[in-house]
This record gives sequence, structure tokens and C-alpha cells, in this order.
Amino acid sequence: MTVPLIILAVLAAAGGFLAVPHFLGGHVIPNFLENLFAGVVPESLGHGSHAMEWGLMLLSVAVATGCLWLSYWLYVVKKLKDREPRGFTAVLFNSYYLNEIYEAAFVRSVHRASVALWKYVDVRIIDAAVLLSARASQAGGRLVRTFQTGHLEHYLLVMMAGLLMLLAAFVTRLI
Amino acid sequence: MEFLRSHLLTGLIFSPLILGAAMFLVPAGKASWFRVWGLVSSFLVFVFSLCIYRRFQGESGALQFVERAGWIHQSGISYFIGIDGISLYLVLLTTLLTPIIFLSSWRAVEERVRDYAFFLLFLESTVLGAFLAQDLFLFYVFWEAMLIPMFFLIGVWGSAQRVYAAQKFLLYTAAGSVPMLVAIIYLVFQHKAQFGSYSAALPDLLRLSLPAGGAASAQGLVFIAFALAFAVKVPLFPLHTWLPDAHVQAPTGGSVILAGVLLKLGGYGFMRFAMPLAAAELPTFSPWFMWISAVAIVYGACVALVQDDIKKLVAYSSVSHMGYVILGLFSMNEIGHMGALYQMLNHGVSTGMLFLLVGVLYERKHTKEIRAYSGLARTVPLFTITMLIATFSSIALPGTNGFVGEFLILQGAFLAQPWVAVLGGLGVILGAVYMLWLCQRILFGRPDEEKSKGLTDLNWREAVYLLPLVFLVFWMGLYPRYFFGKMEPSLRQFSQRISAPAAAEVNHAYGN
Repeated sequence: MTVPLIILAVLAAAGGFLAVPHFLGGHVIPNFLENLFAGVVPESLGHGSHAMEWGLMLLSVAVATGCLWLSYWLYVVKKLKDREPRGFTAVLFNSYYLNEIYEAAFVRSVHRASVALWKYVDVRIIDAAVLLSARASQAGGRLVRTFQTGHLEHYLLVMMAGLLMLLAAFVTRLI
Repeated sequence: MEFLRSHLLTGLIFSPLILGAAMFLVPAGKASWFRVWGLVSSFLVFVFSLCIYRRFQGESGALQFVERAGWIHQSGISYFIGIDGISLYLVLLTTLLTPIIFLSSWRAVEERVRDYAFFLLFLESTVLGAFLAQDLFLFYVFWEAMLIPMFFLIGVWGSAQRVYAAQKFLLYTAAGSVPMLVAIIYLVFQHKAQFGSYSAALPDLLRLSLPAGGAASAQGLVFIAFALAFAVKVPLFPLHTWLPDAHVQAPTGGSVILAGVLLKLGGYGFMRFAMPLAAAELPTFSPWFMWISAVAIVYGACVALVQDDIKKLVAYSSVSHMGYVILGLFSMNEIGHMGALYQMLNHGVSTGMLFLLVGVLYERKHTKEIRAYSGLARTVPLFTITMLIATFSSIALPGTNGFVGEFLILQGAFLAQPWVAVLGGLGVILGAVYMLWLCQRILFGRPDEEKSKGLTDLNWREAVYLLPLVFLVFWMGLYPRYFFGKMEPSLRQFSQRISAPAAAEVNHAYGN
């Protein structure tokens, strides 16, 4: 883990020199950020004063140095790395608990919703509807099958009943 | 020879069938003969299709290599086939995947190899016929005929519940197709009423003027009837439940042809028949279909997330990916259509690869459970690389073919219905989630002694059939213009036809 951090630190230190302020000798890439915003930011917004530039530079150097000293004090003098992290250190140590927040807010709910979608919607509703049509046709078949007794007398009886109904329909001028 | 030269497409459609049937002239001897015969036949068909591709003129959007012959005169049914920019690459995808399937089934299928090879070639014939048919009845014949070999491929060479899955697939798809037959017959009769003669040819039927005005109008009902058949095939939520069963129970080769080619026929059907025939009614239907497809995308991705069987996971990912295709199609702009057609090709390549890789694992360990694999990156690195490439293609990583398709689709969808595109975008995230989680679980992590027993890396044969697909992933992803070149004129015609349905324009576009 240290090697990537070293590389990043070198790049961070070198990157700052891409935009050295005017009054300290000019830029490696002249008007670096200005060119990016050339057409967008109106000139009338003005330039910051030298005082502001000095102030910002000193502030960022102060913060960086302060953190350097703080980490030296915490990890070398007070040997914090040998103890259990507590309080805010714990938050930092567990990377702001982002993984746990994601897990609780998104991962578990999506997982549970997906299982519900699969087990209920797909299996119990959609598939069941398909199988229902299959079972309906099987049930219908079972019902109609009871009429096929195999006994000629029953078939003749049904034929006679049908003939009678037709005759009745004729006679009563229905057909 | 002259006959062949002037009937290239007929030759292409029927040569797999003839070559396959020729196998039955030889007594059922050694299985290896038929494996070789199937491979050589399908490879020859592929070369044949490449010749047609070479002669295809990409600047024209009209049908090429048209063949028209009377068939059933009394009903106006003709044998009318032709190819254009939309079907060109789909045909190539079919002829490319079939030899790959033969190579992948070399050791996987040991029983009744002759029958297997025959059904695969028969399937190839019917699929090619469906892609090339321009007469509605002819299309229907090929569409239904396709189900028969697929039924046998799943039902005979599949896994434990193969018969259930095969029956479900057959009945589901056939039931969805029956309304389409009714609509076709209605259209043929309408042609007689409006023009005095029966005809089932697509250009003739496109000249019909049917009353539009809501989903219950003539055009609306015709569209719904066609859409039912194609929506089952795509498959579009909620008519997708045949897919997980069919894919899991099918043999590897069956899954590849099912996911790689048959699903595209649903999207192709929408493009070729349903949308042009009911173009005036499309504004009514497109918001519905866009929302349904967005739901399909997210639903498919969510359910894929919680599967324990790799093949079922890939099956649900197919539902999700084909949702993108329908989303693109119903965006009603050219960008969406380009993306939809491209995504159809992408899906064939990437999901084909995924199923082939699952087949590789299954051949070695005879299980498709995710729990059974871990740490494959250490034990089978070549397999891991290929699996990761397939994953990246599936999740639409820039640089792979999937990105081009999905980006165009989402862009087109955003132009039509921004919130639907947002939902589709969510699908991209979920897609990455389930694929990468799958890879994490089986490829990375600690390799287990027990689990890695019997796992060998890809052998030469497997590398040979996976390589063309890997190559396509990057070619289609980095230089899509090559492919769009031949597709664009026909696609543009399609977009114009469905946004400005006028009889005169249709006449002109088909070169009549």
C-alpha cells in the first residue's frame, strides 16, 4: 500500500508546479486554468488580489504541515497504531464506514427485493399463471372424459336427446 | 451452377437441411463421422454466407438477391425471399454460431450424434429462412418450423427436467404465434378487399390502408397480434418465464443457438413485420413498450443477481439485455434503431460466449452451481481471461461491442422518454453488479483444493471456437463503423417508414 502512496505523493507535489502564480515567476503552462474557462467565465469577474494568493498559499501549507506534525505526534510519539482506534480515528480507520452504509442502504435491500421478485413475481405469479392454463386444460379434459363411457346405450341416449332438442327447435320455429 | 448463382439465398437457406439430411443415407456408424460432417457442413454454409456478404451492396437500402416464385396462387402466397442491411448481419451471426456450436459439442454430446447434428442443421435452415422470408406466410412457416428441432434439442440432450422445459418452450411460443397467424390471414383478406387479389407478400401488404386510432382499431389489433408472438420470443417481460427453464435444461449448444439467434428473431420480427405494418398505430404503443422494456431490464438484472446457478443467471441476463433491444426499437428515432440492431448482434456474441464458457465448466465438473467454483483465476487463467472479456462485453464496457449498442439505445431512449432512459441506466449498474459479482465468486478468491479438482484450462479446440467471438467483441467495439456501413441505408429506410407511414413512400422505398 505504501508504494502507490509514495507515487501519488510525488505526483501531487510535482503537479502543483503546473500553475505557479504570476508573481512568483509564472507558469509552467501559462494561463493553465484560465484557458479552460476562457469562453465561459467573463473577464469582468476580475482577478484575485496578491494578498489573497499569499493567504491561500500559506493556509494550504499550514494545513499540510499541521497534519504532518499531527500524524507524527499521534503515530510516533503516542504510538497510536498499537492501540485500538477510538472515536473519530475509528471512523477514519474504517474509511468513513462507507462500505457498511452501502451494504445497509443499497446492497441488502436490492438483494431482498430481487429475491422477492424471483420467488414471488416470477415463480408464484407469472409461472403460476402459465401452469394454471395447463392445469385448466387438463381439468377440462377430465370433465369431458366422463362423457366417454364406452357404452353404446349412453351414446344413443345422448343422440336421441340431441335429436329431440333439434326437433323441438324446428317445431317452435326457433331455427 | 447457374441456377445456384441466381438463387443464392435459396441455396443458403436449404443447404444446411440438405447436408443434414444426407447424413441419414449413411448407416449410423461411428459418431465421429457425423460430428465431422456437421462441422464441415456448417462451416461450408458459413463460407457461403460470406460470399453473399461480399456481393452485398451496402449503399442500397432495398432488398437484394430477391427471389420470387409463385407457391399457392389461390391464396396469394408466394416464395419470396430477399436480404437487406437489417437481416445481413443476423444471417452471418447464425452461420457463424453454428460451426462454433458443433466444435463445442465435440465431447459434450456422445449419444445419437447423428440426430443431434441433423437437428442443429435443420434449425439453422429454418432460422435462415425466417430471416430471409419476405412473404408473411412463408415467414410463418419457417417461424413455426423452428420450434421442432429446438424442442428435440432441449428434450433429448438436455438436463434433468428437459422434457418439461422443452414442452414449456414449445407450447408457450406456439401459443403466442397463433394470434400472428390470425393477423396474417386477416391481412391477406384485406388485400383482396382493397386491391382485388390475395397476396401475402410484405411489400403488397405494406400498401394496405388500415384504419388506425387506438389499440382496438384494425392496425392496433394487428400490431398486438404480431407483438404477442414476437414478445414471447424476445422474451419480453412478463412473457419470459419459458426462458430460464429452456436455457438451464438445454445442452450447451442448444443454449447458444437459443440465446444467440432465436431470441433475435423476436426483435427482427418487430422490425420487419409488426412495426412497418402498423406504423400509424405505433405512437399509441411505443410508450407502453418502452416502459415494459425498462421494467424488463431492471427485473431481469435483479433476478439474475440472486441466482445460484450460473446458467440461470446468464438466462435472466438475456431477459435484461433483450429489454434494451426493445427499448431501442420503440424509441422511434434512428439512433435507437441503430442501437437496437447492433445490440442484437452484440448479445449473440457476448451471451453466446458466456454459455460456451459455462459449457466448458460443465464438461469438466458436471455442475453449474456457483458454489462449486472458486478461485478459478489461479487454476485456469486462460478461461478467466475469456470469461472476463465476455463479462466486459455483457456489461457494456467502453471498448467492447456492448458499449456501442447500449449507449446508442440509451441515447435514443432519452430523446423519446427521458425517465425510461434513467431506468435503463439503472439497468446498466445492476448489470455490472450481477456479472462482476459472479466473476468475483467463481474467478477470484481463494482457490479450493476440492473444488479445483479436475479443472483443466481451455484446450486447443475450445480456444479455437472462442477466439472468433473474442475477436468480434473488440472489432465491433472499437470499429463499429465498419458494421454500420452496410446496415445504415436499410435502417434509415426502416426509421423513415415507421415514422411517416404513407403508401406512396412505402412503394418508393421497396423499389416497386
